[in-house]
Amino acid sequence: MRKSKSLFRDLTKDSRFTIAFVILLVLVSLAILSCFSPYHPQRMYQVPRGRPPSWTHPLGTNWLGQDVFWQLTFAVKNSLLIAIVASSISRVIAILVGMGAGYRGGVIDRILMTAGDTTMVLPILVVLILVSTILREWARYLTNLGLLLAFFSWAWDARVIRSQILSLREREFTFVAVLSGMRTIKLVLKQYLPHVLPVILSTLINNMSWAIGMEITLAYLGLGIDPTVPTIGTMLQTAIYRQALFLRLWWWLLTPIITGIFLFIALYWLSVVVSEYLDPRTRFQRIGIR
Amino acid sequence: MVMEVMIEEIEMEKLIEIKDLTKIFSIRTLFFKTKFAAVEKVSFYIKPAEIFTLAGESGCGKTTTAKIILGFEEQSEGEIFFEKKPISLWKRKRIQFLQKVQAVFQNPFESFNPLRTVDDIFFETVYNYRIAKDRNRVTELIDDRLKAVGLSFQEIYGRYPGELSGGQLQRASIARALITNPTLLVTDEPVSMVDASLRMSIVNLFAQLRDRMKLSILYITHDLATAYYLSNRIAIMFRGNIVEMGPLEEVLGKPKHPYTQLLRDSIPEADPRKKWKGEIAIFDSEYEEYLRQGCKFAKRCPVVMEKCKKEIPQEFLVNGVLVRCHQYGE
Repeated sequence: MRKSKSLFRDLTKDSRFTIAFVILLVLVSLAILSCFSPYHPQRMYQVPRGRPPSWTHPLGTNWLGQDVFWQLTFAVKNSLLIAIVASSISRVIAILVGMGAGYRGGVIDRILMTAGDTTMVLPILVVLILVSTILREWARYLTNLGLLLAFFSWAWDARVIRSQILSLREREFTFVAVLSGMRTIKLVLKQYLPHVLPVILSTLINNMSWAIGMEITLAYLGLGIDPTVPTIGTMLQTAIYRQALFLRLWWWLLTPIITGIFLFIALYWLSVVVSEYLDPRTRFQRIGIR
Repeated sequence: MVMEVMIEEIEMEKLIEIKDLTKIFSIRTLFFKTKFAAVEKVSFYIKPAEIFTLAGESGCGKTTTAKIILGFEEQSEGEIFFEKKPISLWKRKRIQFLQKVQAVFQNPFESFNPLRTVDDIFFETVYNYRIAKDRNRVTELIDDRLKAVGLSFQEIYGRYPGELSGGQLQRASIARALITNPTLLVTDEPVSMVDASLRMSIVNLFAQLRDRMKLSILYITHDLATAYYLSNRIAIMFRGNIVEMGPLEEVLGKPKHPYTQLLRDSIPEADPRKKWKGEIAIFDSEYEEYLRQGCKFAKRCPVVMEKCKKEIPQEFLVNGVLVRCHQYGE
C-alpha cells in the first residue's frame, strides 16, 4: 500500500500524468453517471429538439430529441467498454501465446508465432470492414466488436512478451525455480509475470486507444455496432449523417469530437508517462535534469 | 572371484556415473553450419560423501556438463547413471531426481528472482517437494537450513535480493539447495563471485557438509586454489575433453598433462621475487581449437609431437591418474 502510494506520488511529478489522470477520472465518472440517466439512450424525441446548451440541457439537445450530455455519458461508457473488452482479451491471448511460445520454444513457438505474424500482416482496416459487413448482425453488439478488435491486436504484444521471456529463460533464477520443484505453469506465472507486467500495462493503454480509434473509424464508415447505440463513434457518425453543421447544431458535432480528442490525449500521455517511468534509461535522464 | 567382489564394491560406491558424455552444438551462419563438441566423451563418477572437482578455463564445457546432469540440456551422446539408473529413467520422475540432486550457481544476484522476496523460493521448495505442510514446521525447517550456512530466517524474511549482500545471497542459495536433503550438490563456480573472506567460509561449509551430512559435491571451478583445499578427486577439462583425472595430490602435485602443468604454473605465488614469466600463450580462437583434429592442445603444447596433430590421444593410466596425452602412450 505504501509502495503504491509513493509510486503514485512519483508519477504525479510529471504534469502530463496529472492532466491525463484528471481527464480519465472525469470520463470515468461520466461513464458511471450514465447509470443515473433520466433518459433512455436509444429512444428519440424525449426532449425538445435542436436546443442550444442551457441549464436544463448542459450540452444542448440534438435533432433527434435527445439530450446530448446524457447521450455522451452513454457514449463514453460504451466506448470504454469496447476498449476494455478488446484490450483485456487481447492481453490474455498475448500473455498466453507469448509465454507459451517463449518458454516452450521449438515447434510450439513456431506455430504460435506464424499464427501471430499472419494476423499481423493482414491489412486490419480492410479486413475489419469486410468482416463487419459480412457479420453485420453479429458485430452490432459492443462485446462482439471488442472481441473482433481483440483478435487483430494480440500478435504484436505476444511478440514483445515472448522476447522478454526468451531472455528471462536463460537467467539463473529460472534454473533455481526449476530446482525448487516448480511446474512450468506456476514458474511462468509466479516468476516471469512480474517481469512482463510493466510491458503488459503500457501496451494495454496503447491498445485501448487503438480500439477506440478503430471503433470510431468503423462507425464513421457506417459499420461496426448498431448506430442507435451511443458510442463516441456513433455519436459522431449520427451528427454528421444528420447534417448537424447545416442545422447549426455545433454542440451536437463538437461534443464527441472534443471528448474523443481528450480521451486520446489522456491515454497517449498516460502510456508515454508509464513507459518512461518503467524504462530505467529515461528515468535516469529525468533524475539528471532535476 | 576376489576380482569380481572388488569390481562390485567400486560399482557400489558410485553415486553418479557419467559415461562418454558428448554435447554437440552447431553454429549456423548464412550458408554454413559448423558443428563442434562442447563436451566430448567425458566420463567420470562421483562417490558418496566426496567432493569431485571439475576444473578448467572458461569455455571448456564445465557448465554444459553440469547443465546436462541437471537436465537443463539434452546430451547428444553418452549416458548418465544416477544411483545406477540411467538418467532417461529419471526423466519421468523428475521431481524425485531433483529432490536428490540440487545445484548452486555462480552469480548469487542472478540466482534469485529480483522481483520476488528471497523467502518465497524457500517456501516454494518446501511445499513443492511436500517436505512439510504446517507453516510453523516449514519456517523451522528453513531456519534450520539457514542456520547451517550462518544465516537466519529473520535475516531473509520479506527481503528482496537487492537488499542482501552477495555473500548472504550465495549462502542463502546453498541453504535452499539443502532443504530437500540432496545426496548430490552440483555447484557451478559457487565462489568465483564472492569476495575472498567469504570464499573460505563457503569452501569450509562444503567440507562440513561432506563430512557431516555425507553430501557429495560436484565442484566446478576455474580456481585451482580452492579446488586444492577442498576436493578429494579432480578432473581437468580442456576444450570439452577431460585431459587428466585422478586423486587430488597426484594431479595437482605432479601434473602429467602439459595443460595441467601450464595451469598449475599460472597460479601466482605470493612472492615478489617470483614473477610471471611472459611465456603463457593465450590462444585467440577458441573455436579453432575446438574444431582441431588430433590433440586440441597441440598448438600450445611445449612437448608437441608429430602424432599429436593427427591423432586424438587415448586415455592412459599413469600412477592411478588418467591422462589423455600421447606422451604416455607406448
